[in-house]
Order: sequence, then structure tokens, then C-alpha cells
Amino acid sequence: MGEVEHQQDNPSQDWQKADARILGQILAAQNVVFALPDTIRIAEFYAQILISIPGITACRVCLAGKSVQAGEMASGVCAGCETLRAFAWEDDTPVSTNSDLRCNLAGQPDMRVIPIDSYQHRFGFFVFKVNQAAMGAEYQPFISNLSNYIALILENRWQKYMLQKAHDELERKVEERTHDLTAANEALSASRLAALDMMKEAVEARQRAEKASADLQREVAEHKRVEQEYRTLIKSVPDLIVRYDLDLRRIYVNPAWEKASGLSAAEVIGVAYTDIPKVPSPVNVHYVKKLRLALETGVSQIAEFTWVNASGVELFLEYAIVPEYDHHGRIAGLLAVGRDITERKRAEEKLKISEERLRMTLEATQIGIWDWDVANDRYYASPIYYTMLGYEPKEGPADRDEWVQRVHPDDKEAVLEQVDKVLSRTCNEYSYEARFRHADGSYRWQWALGYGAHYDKNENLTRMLGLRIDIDKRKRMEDELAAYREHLEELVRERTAELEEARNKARQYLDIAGVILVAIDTHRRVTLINQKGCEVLQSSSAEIIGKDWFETFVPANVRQDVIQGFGRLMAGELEPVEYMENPVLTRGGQERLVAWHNVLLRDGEGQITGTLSSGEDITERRRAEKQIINLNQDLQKRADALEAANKELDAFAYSVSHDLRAPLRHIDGFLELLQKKAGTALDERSRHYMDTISEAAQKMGLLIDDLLSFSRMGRQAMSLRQVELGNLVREVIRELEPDAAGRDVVWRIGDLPAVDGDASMLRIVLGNLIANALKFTRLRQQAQIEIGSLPGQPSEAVIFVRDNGVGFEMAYADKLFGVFQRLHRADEFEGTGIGLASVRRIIARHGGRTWAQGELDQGAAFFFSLPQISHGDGDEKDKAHPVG
Amino acid sequence: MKKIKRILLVEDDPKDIELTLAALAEHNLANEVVVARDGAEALDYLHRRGSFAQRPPGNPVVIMLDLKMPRLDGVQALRQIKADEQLRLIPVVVLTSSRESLDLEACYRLGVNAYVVKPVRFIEFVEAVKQIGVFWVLVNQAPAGCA
Repeated sequence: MGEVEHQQDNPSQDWQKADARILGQILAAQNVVFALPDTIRIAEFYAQILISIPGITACRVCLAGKSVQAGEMASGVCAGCETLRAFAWEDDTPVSTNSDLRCNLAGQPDMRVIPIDSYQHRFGFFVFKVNQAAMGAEYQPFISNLSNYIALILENRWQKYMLQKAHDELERKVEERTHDLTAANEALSASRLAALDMMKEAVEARQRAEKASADLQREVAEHKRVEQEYRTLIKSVPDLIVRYDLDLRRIYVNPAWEKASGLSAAEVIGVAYTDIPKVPSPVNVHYVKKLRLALETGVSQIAEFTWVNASGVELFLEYAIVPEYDHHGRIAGLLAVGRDITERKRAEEKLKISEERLRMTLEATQIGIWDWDVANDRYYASPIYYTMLGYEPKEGPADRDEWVQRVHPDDKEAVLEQVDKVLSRTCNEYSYEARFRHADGSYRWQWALGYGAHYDKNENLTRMLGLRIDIDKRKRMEDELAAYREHLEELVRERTAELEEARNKARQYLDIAGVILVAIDTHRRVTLINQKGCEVLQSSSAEIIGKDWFETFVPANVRQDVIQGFGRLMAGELEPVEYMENPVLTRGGQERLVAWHNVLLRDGEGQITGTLSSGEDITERRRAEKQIINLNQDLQKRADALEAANKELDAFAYSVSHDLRAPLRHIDGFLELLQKKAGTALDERSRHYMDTISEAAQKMGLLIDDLLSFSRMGRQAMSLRQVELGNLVREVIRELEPDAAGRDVVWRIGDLPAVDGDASMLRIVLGNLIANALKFTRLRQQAQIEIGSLPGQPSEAVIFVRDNGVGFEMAYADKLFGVFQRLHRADEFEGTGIGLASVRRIIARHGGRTWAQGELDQGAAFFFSLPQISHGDGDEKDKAHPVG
Repeated sequence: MKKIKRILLVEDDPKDIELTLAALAEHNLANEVVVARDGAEALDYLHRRGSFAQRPPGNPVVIMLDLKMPRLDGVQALRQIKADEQLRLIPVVVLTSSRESLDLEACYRLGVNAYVVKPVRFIEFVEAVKQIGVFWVLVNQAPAGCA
């Protein structure tokens, strides 16, 4: 866009000079609003723009409670603005849905207040002060337009912001929930594995313990039998054997005992049980108690206790204590057979801890476990298994049918299929998620795991183990999350639709703007084009966006200049030329002339990012202007020619009036002189000749005069005013009275309108027509002359003059109005044949028509029409006023 | 001796001259008439130059001026007369065939004293010329310097 024309604006004092150009520039410049970062900048921009409009002496732009003022005006804080400030949103775009907010300055004389409203919100006000009250109304529509535009943009920004905010909120929530869920899932799966491990371990430990216990019992029984039978062999048995006397002194220990205790028989035989110096705690209290009990009651006792031996090793011992009887049957002492059960005890201890740990884990994780003895259909379930479903432990279901019934009908098939897989040994374990009926009747989601724990030698399943975990909360959370996600997505869709709508509206605005709008970036590519632009360039916007504007749409002959200018503009070396006219190239290869208004676009840091231009296709206008100039020149030529012709005619008329009349005068003069000199000498006939010559000269003089006045009629300037035809008719009749003297004339004067015309010319028209009527009725005993108007169209008045005179043949009706045309011989009716020609010429000059009706000897009627210029009611009344 | 009161008749058409002189003669005014055949000659007479260099001094009491003449026409002659300090006081009567309002207006603007359209009828013409002669020569008191 090279430099073609640079127009300087001179802000005129006179508001009436504020032409469409200034307003158009403002309209073009306001697209800058797109590039303005916040409301205060927008307000400043519009304040500057408004104050530049001639006649606006001051203005204030209130946006979001921010107020920018240019020029002097009444100060003071407005209640409306205060409220807006209260509504101000995020220190950016103000939002008030209250369209009742008023500006305090409204209603003051010279002040105009225009609210900035979108379809939803009130963003603020334009307030401007004018130096003449009428200008307010003049500018109101234009400024309303600006305000609509800003409102649209702010609305758009607001929608964008809200959408972004909703987006962010959603993102945050989704992340939070996802995090919760992930954590819950991790915890759950960790505890599941731990629980499973522990459970297996516990089961194995229990099995080991049970086995150990059974073995022990068997061995004790066996031992007793062997002791009885092989008393003498006791030395060789692995059991610890001690015999006590009644004072609980050891009287025998076997080698096994010696080995286990780390003491020799010599060191302990006969020694009080309390007195074994090598051992820190010689005997266990619990054990002694059992010994004494056995002595006192004679009942065998079992004692379990720990004892630290001479080597410092802690042993877990289990003794069976039996009284020994003498041959009198009295208790003589005690036999204690012991066994080192340290190994067994440790296993039991471990099991206990393991079970405890399991229990705690199960409770903590709310895992219910079950154990199904398939062979006997006995069903064990842990307390949590029951409480999870709202029952007291062991109160609720305890067999397979019961739990199967509790499965939600929709899940039952899938659950049984899973269980059957294990039963049928298709696989060893299963897991599923299903809903189970709670004691309160509702269904709760549970996760279940089960596996085949034991099979018999025929590979039939005999035992199943499993667990249940309440996942209802998680499930519900998942459902909620899914619903929430759906809701969010819906919200996003809605916002997107709203944004799209706002975009469409902005787009629509661009499209209905009757000018081309095009934005070009620093790489000379088109970034925006509106519909009008597409129309002018005969291309779709998809074909235009992204194209190099200059290579594609600027004609080759100016391209280099324009590109150079644009380059300097982008480099900041050149101020933008506000207005220029440059051609564009359409797809069809046509050139269109466009008047451009340009503004630079800048980013937030003030860097130039491109240009925004509005352009008006002025090709047709230029062509029309050119045509008008041509026409004007043509017209001027014709006017000149006409002028010349008129001048010639004037000269001709002058010659005629001067030169034609002179010979007549001479004829008459010399004839007179001749008469004087020779009058008496001439005979009658000669005098007649001389009279005839004189009459002819007179007639010639009349003809010349009429012809001159007829010629003048065509040239004379008309002065149009309202003429009362009735008055004119009466004046003419009065003037003709001498001609009618002595005759019987009946005048009929009808209603005559007031018309627009030249009074003196119309007087000639009526004079000629009425004089004719009078003349051609001369032979009638009673002349009847009627003057009136025909009812007709409102657009013209039709006047007629009718007589009962000699009339004429209609065949010659048109001849009547020709110059020097006569239908009667001069000796019948005198006349020059100019009168009706004058009538026609005058009426024609008024834009009317003339015509005649008649019949030989039956009278004649002459009509003329005059176009009526509408004068409104008052004049209608005048027209209807009776005249005669 | 009776002071001769001269009339300057400016007229190019010999027939008109003859008729005018005839009309004036009817009232015995003809022998006081000087005829100039166009405006230039009239000015020569008034300024006593050219063929009139030898004439006796003194301005005419009235100038009868035709308009349409060769060389210097009546309107141009009138303009020069009325622009001349020595001549502007001489009464000028335009005697013409023209009824054109343009001529009428031009003459009055230049300060003509009377404007008479020559009637076609000789009787009327004689009457008009007589009235002019009688009024300007006999009735009217001419300004100083007119003889």
C-alpha cells in the first residue's frame, strides 16, 4: 500500500462539517480495539476518538468503573459507575446484568449518555457533551453503534475468560480426583497383595502348628506306655526324666536331662530344687506350683514353662508330672518327664503374631475373608465379612446359597461363572467385582477373590479360600467422577458453543460491515478478511487467508512500490497513511479501486504485528463520478451552444426590431409626405392605393411587434409564485371591457385554482384566450363565454375557456397553435396568428399542455394544464376557494 | 441677434434624417440641426475636431441620438459623452427603433435624459419629434455652454 494521497484532518469548529469521512475513519480505526489489552486502554482510545469529533466538547468513557475523560465537563462520581465498580470483575471486564444502572449525567442539557450494553451485560457508558443541543441526536446513532461494537468485544472477552476459568477449574478438579483415585487404587492393590500373602502364611503356619501339636500328643501317650513297660530303658529315651522325693529334691535325672540342662547328675541329685548355683533361676515358679499340686492332689499335671539352662540357653519345656506311689499306695515322690518344646513354641508364637497381623490388616483394610470346606460344605467367614454388609459377626449368612442369593441379579451370572471356573478346575483362582445386598436392602460393590486351597488325592477341590473388599465407595467415586467428567465435558461444550456464537456474532459484524476489512501480518500474509472483502476479490476466505496479500491481490504495476512502503511501515520507519486509494486485483484479473483506511496493529509490548485496513470499493463511484464529469462537460457544451444561440437570437431580434421597423416607418413617412405634397392632385383610386400601402405597413409593424414579443416569451426568465387564476381572469375581463362594449356577452366563471406560475405570462395566456373568445363570438347575438377548471388529477390543474363562437374544424385543431397559423381570413377576423402560439409556448414553459376542441360554427374550447406543486393542506384550501 | 440653438442629430440612415428634418421643419426647427452620420462623427463635432475643427464653439442644446449605427454606435457614443466633463451636461435624447429593454436599461444607466421609440406611423413620428424639439430647444433651459 504505497503512498498515494495523504489527507490532513482539520478538526473543524463547525459540527456540520463533521462529514461521513471523519465518522468513517473512526469506524475504521475502532478495529484497533481488538488489539487493546484491557478496558482502561479501550476507554482511553474511545475518549480520544470521541473528542476528535467536531462539536463534541467533552466526553467521558466509563468502562468497568474506570473512567477516562477528555475535555471539560461536570465532575463528580456517578452512582451508576460506583455500582459498576462494585461489579467489576477480576480487575478486567466489568459485568453487570443490571441494565437499570444509570449514569448521573444523563438528562443534563448538552449531555448525551449512551450505555455500553451487550445482549447480557452492561459494561459502562459513553458520555459526551456537545456545543449545540441538536448535535446530540445527530451523533447518537453513530456512537450507539460504537458502543454496541465495544460491548460485543467485551462480551466476547468475558465469555473467553469465563470459559478459560471453567476450563482451569475443571482441569484442577479432574487432576485432584484422578490423584485421589490413583492413591486409593494403589493402597488397595498393595493391601490386597499383603493380605493375600499374610493369609497364605497364616494358613500354612496354622497347618504346621496343628501338625506339631498332634505329633506331640501322640508322642506323650506313646512315651507313657513305653515308660510303664520299659522303666529300665528310660535312660536311653530322649525325654528329660526327673524324679523328685516328697521334699522335691531330685533323686534321679536321666542323661537326656543332663544334656539339656547342662548339669551333671552329681550336681543336682539330693540337692534342694532351689539350690543349684550354676543356674541363674534354678527353677520355674509355675513348674514348682505344678509339682506341689501333683504332690498334694495326686493328679497328673502338665506344665509348660521357660527355663534358662546352665549354658544360658532359654528352653521352652513341657513336663508331664505324675505321682509315684510306694507299695502302700502312698505318694512317694514325683516323676516328671519333660520335653524341649522350644521349636514348637516358637512356631506357635510366630503363628500368633501372624494371625494378629492378619486380623489387624483385615480390619484396617476392611477385608473380609472366608474359608469354604467344600467337601463338607462348611463355611467360615471373618467378622468383617459380616459387618461389611451390615450384620453382626456370625449373625448373617454362613452358607454358600445364602451369599449367592445376595448377589445383585444383574451380576449373578458373571459371579457364578467365575466360581465355577475354580470348582471345575479350569483355573485356580478368580476375582470379580459385583454388588451384594446389604442388610439395609441396598447394594454395595465388593471386590472378591477366591482360590482353590486344597485338593484331595483325586484332585477334587476340598477347600476354597477367598476375600471380599468393599469397593462401594470407590465405585461410587468412579461413577461420580465419570458423571462429573461428563458434566464438565457438557460444560465445556456449552462454553465452546457460546464462544462460537460470540465469535459468529463478531464475524457477522465484520461481514455486515459494508467495507472490506483485511488484516495483514508482518510477513505480508492475510490473517483476516471479511465477507465483503471476499466478494470484492471474488475469492473465498479460505483462498485468501495466509496468502501474500501483495503478490496475490495488488496489481503488478504498483506492487513494488506498495511492498516497499509496507516494509518500511513494518520496520517502523514510516507513519501509517490514514487514507489512500489503491487498486486491488480480483481473481478474475479485474482491477478494483479501493479507498483504504489503515491502522497499525501492535502486540502487548508495542511491537508492530501488522496492519488492519478497512477499504471501500470506489470503482463504481469513480466511474460514476467520471461519467458525471463527462455529462457535466457535455451539458456545459450544450449550455454554451445554447447561450451562443440565444445571443444570436438576441442579435437577430434586435436587428428585426430595429431594421425591419425602419423601412416601414419610411414607407409611412414618405407616403405621408407624398400625400401632403400631391394629395389634392391625386384621384380617388390613387388615394386608395396610398391608403392600402399605409395599412400594409401598419400590419407589418404589428406582425413584427408580436413576433418580437413571442420570441421574448421563450427567452424571458420566469419568476414562479402562486397565482390566483380567478383574480387574473377578472382583471383580464375588465381590461377587455371596451371590446365588449355594446355587445351582449354572458360570462360564466367557474371555480379556478391557485397555481404555480409566472403571473405576467399567465396573464398573456388568459388574455389571448379570452380575447379570442370575445373576437370569435362577435357575430353571435348573445356571446357566451365560460372560463373554468376541469376536475382532474391532483397532479395538474386543467383550465378551459369555452365560447359559442364560430368554432373551427377539428382537422385543423393542431394548426391553431402554430406561429402565423390562422383559420380565418383577415377580413373576417383580424389577428396576426401569434396569440395561440404564445399560449402554447408559455404553457410549455410551465410544463403543461395545450389543446383545443371545436366544431365549425358550434363554438370552441381551449384547454391548458398546469402541473400542481403540492403545498400541503393550507394551499389545498386556497385552491378550493370559489373565485367567480 | 437671436442666439442660434443648435440640435445635434446623430443618425446614419439618410431616410430617417430626411424624415426627421421634415418633422422638425414643420415646426421651424430644421435650420438649427447639425447632422452627424455616426457616433464617431458626433464626437468629432462635439470636440471640434476632424471635419468639424473649424466650427464655431458651443455645445448643442440637445443631442438626438440613434442607437444602431456603424463605427461608434449610440450606446458607445452616449457612454463617451456622459463620461466627458465638458459634454456630460448636454441633454441627450435617444431616438430609436428599438424597444428592447436591454437598450433602454443601458441608456438610462449611462444617464440618458430621454428615450423615445420612433413610431411607425409618420403622423405619430412627426408629433414625437416636434415634442422633443419644442421641449428641449424651446422650453427647456439648457445648461451653460450650450448654444
